[in-house]
Amino acid sequence: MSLSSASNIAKSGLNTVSAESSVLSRNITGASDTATYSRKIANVISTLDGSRVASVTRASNLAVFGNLLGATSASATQNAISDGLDTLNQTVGDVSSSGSSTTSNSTSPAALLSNFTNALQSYEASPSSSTLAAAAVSAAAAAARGLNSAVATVNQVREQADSGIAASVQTINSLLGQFQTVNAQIVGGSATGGDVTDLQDSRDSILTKLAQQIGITTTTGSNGDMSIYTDSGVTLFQGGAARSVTFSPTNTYTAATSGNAVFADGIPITGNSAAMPVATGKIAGLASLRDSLAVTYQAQLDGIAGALINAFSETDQAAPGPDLPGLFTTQGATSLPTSTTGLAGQITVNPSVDPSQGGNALLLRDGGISDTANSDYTYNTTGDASYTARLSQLLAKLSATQTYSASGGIITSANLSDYAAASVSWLEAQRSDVSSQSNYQSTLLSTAATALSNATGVNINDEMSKMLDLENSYSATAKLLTTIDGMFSMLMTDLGNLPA
Amino acid sequence: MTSYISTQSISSSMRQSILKMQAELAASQTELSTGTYADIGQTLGARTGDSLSLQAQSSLLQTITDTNQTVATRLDTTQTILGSLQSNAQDLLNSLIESNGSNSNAGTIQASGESNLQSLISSLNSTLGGDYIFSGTNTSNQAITDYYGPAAPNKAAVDSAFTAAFGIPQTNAGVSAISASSMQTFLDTAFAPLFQGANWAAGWSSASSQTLTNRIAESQTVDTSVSANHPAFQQLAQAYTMIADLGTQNLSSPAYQTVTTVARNLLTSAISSLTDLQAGVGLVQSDINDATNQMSLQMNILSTQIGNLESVNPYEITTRVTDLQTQIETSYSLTAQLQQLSLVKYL
Repeated sequence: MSLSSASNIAKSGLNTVSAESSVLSRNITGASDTATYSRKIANVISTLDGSRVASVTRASNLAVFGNLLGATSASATQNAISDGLDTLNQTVGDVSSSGSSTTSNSTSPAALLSNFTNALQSYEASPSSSTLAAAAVSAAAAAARGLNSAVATVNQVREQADSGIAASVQTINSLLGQFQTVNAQIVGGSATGGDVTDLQDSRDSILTKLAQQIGITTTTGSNGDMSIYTDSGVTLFQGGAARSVTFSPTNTYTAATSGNAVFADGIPITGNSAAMPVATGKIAGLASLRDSLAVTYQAQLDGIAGALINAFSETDQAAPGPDLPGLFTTQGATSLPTSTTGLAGQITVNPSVDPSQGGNALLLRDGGISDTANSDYTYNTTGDASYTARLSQLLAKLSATQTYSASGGIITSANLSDYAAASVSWLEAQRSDVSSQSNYQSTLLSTAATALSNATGVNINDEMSKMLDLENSYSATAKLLTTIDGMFSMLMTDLGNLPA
Repeated sequence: MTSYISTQSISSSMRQSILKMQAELAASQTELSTGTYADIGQTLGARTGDSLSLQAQSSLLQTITDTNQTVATRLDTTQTILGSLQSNAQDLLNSLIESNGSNSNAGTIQASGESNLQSLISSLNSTLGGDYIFSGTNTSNQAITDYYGPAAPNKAAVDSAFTAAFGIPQTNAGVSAISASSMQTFLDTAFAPLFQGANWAAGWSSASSQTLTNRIAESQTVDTSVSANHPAFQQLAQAYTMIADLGTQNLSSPAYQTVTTVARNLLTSAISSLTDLQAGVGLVQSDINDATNQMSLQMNILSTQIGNLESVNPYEITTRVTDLQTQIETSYSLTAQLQQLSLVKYL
């Protein structure tokens, strides 16, 4: 073997060491970036003239990464629902009793009804007092306003969920677009044997972001090409082309509004009619909030409003005539409502009994609220100042059992206060359930992230010790070169000293 | 084989647990200062409605207890008035029995009749907080028309009945000529009906026979007033009027005796009715007391239940806060030490 071949091998060794150091310093730079960076490995092979870095690959664990995607989606679902329910919880407020007295701090319909019942009871004890009458009517108005604002909150939650879905769909489409570009680069790079590890990292990062919006599964082809499907099996990306996800938002929600479905590749993936509904991701959470949870809560509020209107309806005292809405009514109503849909948003106290609208609060005692011109609906025909029969009747009706629509998802037969309390129970049960789910999912997510980080991440100390190895290797190689150089010069000197 | 740990895991696990513990610490501090769960709704979940129901029930009981005060005040007043009416009636009855039919002190008796009638009228027209308490449900109008008021219809009815029967007014000295039997006939046929039925409503009473009813407990409703239309008051009014305003002073002894005998019977019967009324009011009063006591016990139980639902155990929380503090401090010092623990330091 010649000295120059030894020198060439030493040189290739120097090249290899510097290539490895470059990969190593990339690792150290990316050490704190677990979200996108995975450890790079320089694959060194021996060749005839020494060694070289043949390729750079990255540490990866598909199974763990799949778990991370799943946990990300599930956690995003729970967070979306949890946020919405927290907003709905504003309609209940603080449920604790204030200090020693047992008056509730709650702003829930249940608590407002309780206040109203108390006011009515006080009025029943002193029926001639117009002050107490006005207080009872004002408590009734507060209850009606409470229902109105609860419905406004429900609609607000649905509107926010709807615009959240729209934003999410936009994000999904833009991520799919980025994915298309990166995926094409990886396919091209792999074919020519280039270093595509950074591109793979950024593709994974796009997938992680996508998983927050919608639950996905992926498959990878032999040429590095990747396909994405929703967790329900609808294609999002295949054959190098992104499918479009579409959604037309609805801006204003009322009780009768139902939101539009999200379509992926032309197939509905949210809503009750969807054949392949997505189970996880922000979109799934928002859709269940908008189409199911908020709607059920609304039905409960409507049930309360309907029962209130019925309990306070007035009967024709003179002839067989229709019952008319009394204390509680809706704007311009001339008969009792036939359906409860949307009542909670419209319920109001009849102006004829509301002093703040020029009405007479004493009608609460006397009857005739529904139609002040028609004396047939007056209960207190003699105009007695302490007529209590109607007030006692109202109190009895307020605590009487009524029936409610099954769409409320809770008891269908109960008295008003029990129903209103059951509604609060329902809401808080959902919140408590979602909160524990959310805790569980975020623990799962952090475990998955840790597992992935351990599988593909960088340990700086490990890299530093490798650096020491490289340093040793470098100095040994350098020493080798010096030695070879010495041998060459010794050879040259000796050659010069030869006798001519 | 050793397991591989990434640098990121080492620091992020510490960071996450510190965040979690700090959130827990904040919640525990809230619980410690309020004595109730930091988020009652979330902690109780499906049982939140129970808490609200208990609070509603408790506040309703408190309201009923308060309104029972109003009712009790009305009944106390009623009871006092009934007592004084009964003792007035008893005094007059005693005087009538003492005089034993002799008309020697007829003037005094007549004056007593007048003053008793006035006191009956003013008692039945008593008000409480602006309401006439003996007016039944018609509390905005006074119960009984003042017999001595201007153009009183009850006085006019008695006058015209007397004149129709005897041809002279009661004040005429000629009343001494009225015989006992014609006086008896007058009292039975013309005078007595003035204090009953439609005549009573037209001449004497504006009260409603419908008495007030109030809910004194969640499922207990009682009559809480006495109407001036009760027969006891009609009998009292009749007895007082005949003594006060049938020319008593000038009546012949037999006619006077007829009047006093009828009045004595009426008074005896009225006193016994009054006693019944008083007993009835007393029963309602004790019902209210019982109901209020019962409700106060119930409220105690309810507030215990609410406490059980909403309250946290302060000892448990204190321990938890101490534990959390220790853990967080340990995490901090661990983080600081891990920071030192790097190969770079030793190269």
